[in-house]
Amino acid sequence: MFKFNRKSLIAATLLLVFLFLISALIPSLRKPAINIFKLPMTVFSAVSQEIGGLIFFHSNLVQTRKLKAKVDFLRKQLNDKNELQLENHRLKSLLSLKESSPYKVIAAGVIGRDPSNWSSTVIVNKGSSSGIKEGCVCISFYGLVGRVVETGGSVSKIMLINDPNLSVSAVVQRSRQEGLVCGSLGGTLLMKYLPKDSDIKIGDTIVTSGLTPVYPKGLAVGTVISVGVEFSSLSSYAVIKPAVDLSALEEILVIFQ
Amino acid sequence: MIRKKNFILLLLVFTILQVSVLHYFRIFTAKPDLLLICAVAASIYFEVESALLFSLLCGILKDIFSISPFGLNTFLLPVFSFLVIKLSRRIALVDTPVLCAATFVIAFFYAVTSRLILGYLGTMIPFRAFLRISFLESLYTALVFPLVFRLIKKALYL
Repeated sequence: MFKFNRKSLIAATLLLVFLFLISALIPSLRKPAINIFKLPMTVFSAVSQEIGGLIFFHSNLVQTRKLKAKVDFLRKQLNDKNELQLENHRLKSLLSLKESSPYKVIAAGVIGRDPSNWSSTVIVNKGSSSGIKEGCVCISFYGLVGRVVETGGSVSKIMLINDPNLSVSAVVQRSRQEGLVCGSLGGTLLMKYLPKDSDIKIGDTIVTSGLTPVYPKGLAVGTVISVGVEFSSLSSYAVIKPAVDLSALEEILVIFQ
Repeated sequence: MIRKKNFILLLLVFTILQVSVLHYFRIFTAKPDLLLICAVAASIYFEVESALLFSLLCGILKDIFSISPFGLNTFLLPVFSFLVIKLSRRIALVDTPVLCAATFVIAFFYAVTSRLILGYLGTMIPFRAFLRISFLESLYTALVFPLVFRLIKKALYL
């Protein structure tokens, strides 16, 4: 279809070499460039959130009513949990067991998302100047969100748990069955490498196992929505609905200590 | 007279839209690729050197916000732009339906190529997700194309 003479072939080769060199330089350009884009991104993100709030006013109203009812119910549960926690603390001190230290978190707002459809990342408005480092774990009040992959002065990129590059060692809360939770770029996660006869069923809660040292033990990952057997018939897998609504993230907490 | 400054401004606005607002308009987790549309538009409107330069800028802007280990889009977009320039000499890319169909094909091949390169670099995704995202992204980009193209046209001749 395309005919090339010698001159244009040399030009094309030179162009490809030039493009390759520029491509190699991109990672070093990212941090300063994102810092430049931070302000317009924050403005666009805030405006779009406000417009979204106005457009979906009615559904937001219904949701607020539902959430208010849920808050009352949860308040009662929290009270009971506090009682149990105090009792647990007293008993542990009686047995001289070491308490696990609580982690320190910093709140960050989401100002941008990945431009492509091939990875699931968000950009937040806090960076290394706030104490965030690469590898820090991110959570929300509902459970695990992801992990910091890049930090700039005042922005950070966070890889969400539905990204195929991120894997977390997790257990079924009820049966303590271990598996590896991986992202699938959609609204669900996959828990792989489960034994064929593993004790896992629909509705089970999946939490982090603590085997991967960076992820604190017991963070909610999601709920099992279906269980199946792998194509090889050697192991089974579970499809998990994430505990956190990853498509509607506005604020996250970064564990920095 | 074509105003290149307006095109650069539009590129910056589309980049911010791509990483912020467009997330709310996703269909089955796929969103259109505005910067790919810009690269295609640049290949049609500008002479070869400017088209390659603008598609390079599109690639750089896209890569700044992504997490790929190197500038994948910086490399691929000018290459695709060059192919579009060559293609536009064979097929008259003038009518909207032809442009939409061409954009669909370009976006699909772009998605498949970039995914294969990422796969080669070690980022594997399930085959079904690969097909779903490639197809939906291309279709969505092609459907959005007339609207964005009209905007670009207006901005260029302001």
